[in-house]
Amino acid sequence: MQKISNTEIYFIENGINSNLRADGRSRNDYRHFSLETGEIIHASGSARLKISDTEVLVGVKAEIKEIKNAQSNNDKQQEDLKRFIFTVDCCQSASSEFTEQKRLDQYNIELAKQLERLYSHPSVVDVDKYLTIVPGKFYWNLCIDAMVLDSDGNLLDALSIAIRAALYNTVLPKIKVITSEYQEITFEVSEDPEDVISLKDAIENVPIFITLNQIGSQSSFIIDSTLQEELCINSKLCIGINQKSMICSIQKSSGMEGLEPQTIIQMIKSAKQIGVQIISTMDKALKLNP
Amino acid sequence: MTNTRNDGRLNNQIRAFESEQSLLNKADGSARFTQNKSSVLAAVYGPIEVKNSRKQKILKSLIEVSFTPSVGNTTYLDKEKELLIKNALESIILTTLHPRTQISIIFQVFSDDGSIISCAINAACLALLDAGIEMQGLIGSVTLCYNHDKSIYLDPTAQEEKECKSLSVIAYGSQSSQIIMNKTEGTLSMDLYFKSLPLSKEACDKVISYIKLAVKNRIMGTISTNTTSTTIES
Amino acid sequence: MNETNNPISEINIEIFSPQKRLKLRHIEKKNENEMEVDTDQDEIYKSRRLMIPGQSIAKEGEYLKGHGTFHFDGNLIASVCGNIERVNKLVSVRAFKSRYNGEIGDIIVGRITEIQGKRWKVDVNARQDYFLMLSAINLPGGIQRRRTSSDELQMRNLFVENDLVYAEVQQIMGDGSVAIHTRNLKYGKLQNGCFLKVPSNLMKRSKMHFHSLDECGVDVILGLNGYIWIADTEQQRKQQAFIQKHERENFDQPLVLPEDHKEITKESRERIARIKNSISLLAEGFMVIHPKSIMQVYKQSIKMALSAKDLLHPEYIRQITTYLSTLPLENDSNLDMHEYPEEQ
Repeated sequence: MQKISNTEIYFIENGINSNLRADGRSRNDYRHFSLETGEIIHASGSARLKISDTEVLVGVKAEIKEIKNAQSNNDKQQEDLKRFIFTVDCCQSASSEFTEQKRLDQYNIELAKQLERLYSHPSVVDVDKYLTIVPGKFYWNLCIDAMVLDSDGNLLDALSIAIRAALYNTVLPKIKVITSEYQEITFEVSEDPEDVISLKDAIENVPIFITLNQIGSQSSFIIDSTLQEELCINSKLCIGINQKSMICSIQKSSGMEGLEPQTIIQMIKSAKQIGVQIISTMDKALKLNP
Repeated sequence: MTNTRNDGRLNNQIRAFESEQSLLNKADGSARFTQNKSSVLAAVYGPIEVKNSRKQKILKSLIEVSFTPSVGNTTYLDKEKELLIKNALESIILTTLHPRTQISIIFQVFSDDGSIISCAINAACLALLDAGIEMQGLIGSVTLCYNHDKSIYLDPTAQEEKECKSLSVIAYGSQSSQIIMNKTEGTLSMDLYFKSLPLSKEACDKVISYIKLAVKNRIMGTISTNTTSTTIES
Repeated sequence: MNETNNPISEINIEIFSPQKRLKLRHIEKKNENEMEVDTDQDEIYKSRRLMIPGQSIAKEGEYLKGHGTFHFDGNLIASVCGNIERVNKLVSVRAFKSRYNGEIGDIIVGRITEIQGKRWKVDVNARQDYFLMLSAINLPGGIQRRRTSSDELQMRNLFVENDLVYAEVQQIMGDGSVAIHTRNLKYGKLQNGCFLKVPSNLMKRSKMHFHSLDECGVDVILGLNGYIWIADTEQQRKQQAFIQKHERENFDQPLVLPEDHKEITKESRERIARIKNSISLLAEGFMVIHPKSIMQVYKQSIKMALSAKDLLHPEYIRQITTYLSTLPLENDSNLDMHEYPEEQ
């Protein structure tokens, strides 16, 4: 289904214009998905998400980062803000089309960069409260590794939701800081599996991506596209929304056509409403199955 | 047999297996094989049209193997792994049945804790069964490491692989007692090598009977529930 | 026709725990005799006829070897994992999942991948791409003449890359390549409908592959290779009439379908979506796909008052699949129902 003929595109476009997609959903319907956390035991946190055929596995590993005295302002800023490091790996086995390593690498990097931008604002997670060990010197760095096992469209959204769930599931061991007389700092990491800091409350402001694809006429756009629908898009807008309905990132990409400003305003409105609802449904589900 | 290894196993004890089949939708066949912390996913696409028509073989099917490690980019070491696995699988797949086609086998390592080539070959066997590709028989693979004190460890972990004197990856088929693939690394005395062959054969037989059980259970729907680990009597 | 986006009322999504995969942890007891495990399996193999590659079926001379078997060392050995089938003296092993294997006379739906000299290459989910020769199609206007070089240059006007074609397998060449043809008025390019791919093992050979489901006003083409086409009956009829009229009167001019012939009403779209989801449901439950089973799912979903998109919900899928497994098996001799146990 990686290829599609013109008449099929026509069929899908007309369906979307009349608000009835090929699988019976309306433009604003999201597919049901399954979410499972805590599958990877040796990671600090993990989540597995499956939306129809799209399957994403996310693992979070925490490591301690030492900030040496900054050489220049620029470096210091970069060091300070990079609390999250993202890597995305699309399995070659996800599709026989993915065998071109170079194209796959580029795609992986593009996804990782988008996610990094989403988390770039310091208010995303309260660093001082949860990720600081010694202010100014030692911080927790969260390395987030996402693996895409299979794709049926809507990959970026799936990744962002899975990452949020993985962070909810993440636990950091409590650390006791011992300062010796010579200003040497050593850590005593608590071995007790119960003595941990959970990031459950830290993810309040963590945003997710909502991708809106414009298909057919200028004013019709859909969320949660399938692979077939993604082959028909004219342009794509990825908006990062958090629980407070604030926009955290916007990116317009792909497609040969541009977007009219009116359409963008409509899209942002829709994305805000949908994003907030998805986050609240997700939080409810996560609370029920910790 | 008094010396135990780091994880409490005996010298000739292999780790417990776990497997899953038909995980991926788009692949013709897929399987995941796990031995404690080593886990590999194998996906099989084929027989399909050859992508690069120059590589097309007139009398046989072209076998393409792709190996992706758990961390980092693919290096020359992974290329070597691809070649070994390809040689092993080419011997058991009946390639002459599908001339001018291609069978792609793609590996993704989830976690690497030693014996990863063996894990991959076992996963490939399950995936090929899932895809319905004609084979001569089943293939089972195991890794052995030879230590400085002349002891032989079966199914080493990554730590044991680093500390050993030499390493051998070996694969047997279910059809006859012939070695399908064997690669050794490091120096090894002939006596030790020949002494270890029957040991490895038994271990591979265990792997093959596990694969049979896995396939049977998946088709029939029953689950086995035994609870201790496998020991090979030397 | 263009509606502005409806205000979002309620996002009805459910986040649920995934079904636990059937993880097999096999750990043998210490000192357990391996021979014991083998004989146990042998019995089951005999009763359920399950074969594993490398397993010996019989001695060489006893049976004729069919697909999925080979001779080795005086024995007939299975080469795939699957059910053993025996017709008189012919023994073959049929794998549960395999790529489509074309036979002469098979009706298939294919997608054009490439245009080569005097032929098109068609992807049909088989081991290789099939060929559609220029001489094997009906020229517009129905004229019977030799294909000239100008025809060859105008191949693009007939079929372009990614088009869907409805065709029949014509011939299998000596080197294994397969030729298909559309030399019939009902075959040809498929337009204005919906495409779906399912495993080819679920499609069964029957007398008809083009089914006009009257109860829902939906046309379904069940290609034996697992490619399925769904379209609206009314619209297809109008389209077909227009194309035939065009062929009779002015075939030398390019065919342009007017907008009103491409229109599909919203109700028909809903029905098409429901059929599409029903077929996906059958594919997921690994059940044979034929008009009777599709209509059973369709009617059940209407009885349960589900909208088309509700058929995507795993809970409803489970309910309907259980309901279907309670229905009595078909007795139609054409339809050989092999219901495999559900995976996972």
